[in-house]
Amino acid sequence: MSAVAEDDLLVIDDLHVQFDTRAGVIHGLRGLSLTVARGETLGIVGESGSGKSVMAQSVMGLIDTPGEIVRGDIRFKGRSLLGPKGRSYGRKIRGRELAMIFQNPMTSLNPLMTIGAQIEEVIVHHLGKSAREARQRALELLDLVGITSPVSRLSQLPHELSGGMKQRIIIAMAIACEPELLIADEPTTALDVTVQAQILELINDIQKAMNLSIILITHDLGVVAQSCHRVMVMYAGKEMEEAPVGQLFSRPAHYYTAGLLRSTPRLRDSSDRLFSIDGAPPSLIDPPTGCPFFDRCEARTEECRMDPPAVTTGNQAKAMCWHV
Amino acid sequence: MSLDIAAPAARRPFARTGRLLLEIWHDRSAAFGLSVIVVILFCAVFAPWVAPYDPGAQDLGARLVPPFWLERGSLAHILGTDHLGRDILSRIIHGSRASLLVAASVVLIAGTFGTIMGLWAGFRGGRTDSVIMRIVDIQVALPALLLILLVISVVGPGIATMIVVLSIANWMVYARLVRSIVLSVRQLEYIEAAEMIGCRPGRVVFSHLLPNLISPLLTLAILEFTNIILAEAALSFLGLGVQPPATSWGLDVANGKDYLFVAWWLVTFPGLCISITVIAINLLANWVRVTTDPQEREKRYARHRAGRRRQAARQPVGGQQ
Amino acid sequence: MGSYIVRRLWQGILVVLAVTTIVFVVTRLVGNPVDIMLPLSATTEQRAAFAHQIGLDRPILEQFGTFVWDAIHLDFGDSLWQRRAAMEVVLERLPNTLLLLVSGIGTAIVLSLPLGTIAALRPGGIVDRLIVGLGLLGLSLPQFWVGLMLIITFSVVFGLLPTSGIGTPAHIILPSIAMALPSLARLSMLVRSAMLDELNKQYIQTARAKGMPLHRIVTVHGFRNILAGFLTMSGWEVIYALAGFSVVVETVFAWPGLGQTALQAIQRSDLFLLQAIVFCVAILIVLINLALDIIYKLVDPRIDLN
Repeated sequence: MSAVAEDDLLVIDDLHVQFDTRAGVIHGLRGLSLTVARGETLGIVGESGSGKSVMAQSVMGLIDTPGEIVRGDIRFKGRSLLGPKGRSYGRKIRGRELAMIFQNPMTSLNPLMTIGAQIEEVIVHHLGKSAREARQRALELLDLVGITSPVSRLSQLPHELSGGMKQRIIIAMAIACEPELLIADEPTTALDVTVQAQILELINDIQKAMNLSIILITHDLGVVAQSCHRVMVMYAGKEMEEAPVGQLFSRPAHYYTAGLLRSTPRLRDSSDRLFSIDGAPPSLIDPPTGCPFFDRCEARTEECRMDPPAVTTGNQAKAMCWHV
Repeated sequence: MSLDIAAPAARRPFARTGRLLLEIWHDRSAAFGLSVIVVILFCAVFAPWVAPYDPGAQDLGARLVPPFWLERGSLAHILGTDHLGRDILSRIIHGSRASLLVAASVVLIAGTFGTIMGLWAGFRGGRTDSVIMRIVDIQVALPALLLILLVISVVGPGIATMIVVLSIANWMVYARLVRSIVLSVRQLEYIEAAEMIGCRPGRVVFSHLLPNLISPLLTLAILEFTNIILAEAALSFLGLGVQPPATSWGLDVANGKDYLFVAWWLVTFPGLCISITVIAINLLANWVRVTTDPQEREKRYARHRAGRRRQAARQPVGGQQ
Repeated sequence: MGSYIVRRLWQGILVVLAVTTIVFVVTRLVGNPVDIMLPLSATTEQRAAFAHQIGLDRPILEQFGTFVWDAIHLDFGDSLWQRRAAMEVVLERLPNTLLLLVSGIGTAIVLSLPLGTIAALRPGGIVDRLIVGLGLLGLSLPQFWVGLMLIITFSVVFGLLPTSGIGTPAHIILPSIAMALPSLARLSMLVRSAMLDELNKQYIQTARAKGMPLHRIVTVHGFRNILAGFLTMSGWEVIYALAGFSVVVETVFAWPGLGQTALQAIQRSDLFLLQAIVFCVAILIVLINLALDIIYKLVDPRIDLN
């Protein structure tokens, strides 16, 4: 990344994350780079195990003992989040300028703390507000995320709420300090279909109202089409392709993206069988060099055994492939 | 990212035993535990040949001789002698028999009985289950040791009494464990599915139950073994367990109690033996527990590597709190 | 909640009844109190008189009825050794045992929270291994031996503290340490593993992502979730101590509590005194259990007691 791009809100540069397990070293991320501009929603798509969540955890400083960031950099507003200095910087901004929503609202709230206490502690800690002001702000937030009778909710415990409500609470906690970047890690996966749409809509509304940048991690291409400006496709810990939403759906450049699109069911599809990509992603223990999609790609040639180049495929678009 | 990658299971039993021994060897504390246990077992089995003297042989001319490294001590009595001139080392070697005999018998009897009750309660369910579990609950709430004292005071102390009483007081833990495992195994989806498609429930549950049962039961039995060793020692110390002229570590500590001011070695060495034995078994139990649990095994590995990394160099990169 | 307490009280009464029955069966049917309590030299007339005095010549059911009736009235007969009502002796010694429990088990409970937590913060680190090592010692060393080693060290070698007995505050230090050690080990290991489990949960990740400082994550989020389990185990430590471990510690330090009295009653074949002690401890245990259940419910409102 050049220095010019540093007015981007978040820059991830050649990030390598490893997990040291008994079975061997798992390479969770293998040189991932991305940028998020202000006010932008970046979608990240990939199968489970492609490294989406590892990326999110790295940004939030949640990579723990078996895991380790071995190479690369993460910069938020131009300042690194790694190293001793970066860690103390990270502690200051996480929850305040940089927030995250997790996949499973059922387990993401402290079961023995009231809703109010969990929202208020963010406000008190980061904004130094008094308990009274924090309560006032919590009420506003609950109202904002569409929770009815917020006053009585504040004194309830998580197990008294439904999954959709919990996710709304978690969103309220995340936006409590009006962050600049919100990472949403599969925010709708664990919810009922009807609730999924509501939550997604809420996130979109908030983004517009607060001019947030969002990283939306999902494996649901429909969600991406609905909410994102730009999409990045990940596979086996690497980036495969990134492009503006319209271009990715109309002209996918990478064979993996094309396969992914074809394996998504559509309403007006006449064929009676759903397409699926043969094979499975490579093991992340001793992953092969070259294109990670090699084994499953219909267009593979000998040169695909070498690391593919990043080919520019349009404005803000590129694909890691020899055959674009 | 999921980390629960099971280690490939070895096919040949020999290779497996070899690898297990190798793994123990690499874990310093487990290796220590196993070696101590082997030594103690050897001493207990071959006590008459290992011990330099008869444990009851008195030598009133050599009373309260200190261990050999002290003034007045001699290599004739490495750990010294007691108030009747009996060789402490020989008494300790013979005393190991009482501890191991009582502990092994109690674990075997209580373990078998408790396992049967737990299986029964878990499989039959309903009335049987609630009656057995009510008995377990009530017995857990009883002042066990005081009742043991009461029974011993009425029946009279001795090794057999101790084995019976401790067995009665300890079967519940096994019953509880086994029952909870049976219940959880029966709730597994594939078991429910198997029962639904008409597999004979007994056979299905049993074939899936055994592997789930062995590791926790083994761990519990080993831990209970240490508890019984401590209980035997305590009872013998109180004069309610092993009776003279038989020997036991707890009894020896009790005998030495009146000579605290003049001969510290009388109470120190037998007690040290109890401690080392129990520590060794605990270390091995911990290793067994971790090794038979894939998740725990992964954690141990992670800790091991993390420790090494910290020792090797403090790398600035790494997003840990 | 109210109906729950009533049900637990009912269960408690069952436990006490079970204890009473066991005591009766063991003392009257398994053994013969006349043989146990009277010296070998007693004459046949003396034996018959004693049997009549304690009602052995009446039908067994009537004996049991009288036994239960007396138990309800806390009347267990006279202690042959002390030559006064057994219950009187129990009530005289009970405060000493309670004092030892509070100072010993209390210390263990208070210290185990920080120790277990500190260990859990860096599993595998030096501090953790040190605390786990101490825990292993606490679990493995026989309590009576620890007591004797403490006496040798602090009383015999350094002459700092009294060897045994009761009286000054200095007397309580060594028995308390011996009492506390195994409980401290068990409780710290419990706090450590519960905290480790808790810190791996998703809601802790949420709290970390919210930017909450580590001390707040541990003390506010973690503690609250392990508290119920911790309190239960602490209660069990009190129960273990009451139900047996105090016998050992009190005997080593000649601490005139219920435990030492129980052993002395056995040595003097004083069945009636022993019965009174067992019964009294059983009631205490039932009460502690009940208190634990109520505390548990207050700490974790999710638990449905019915």
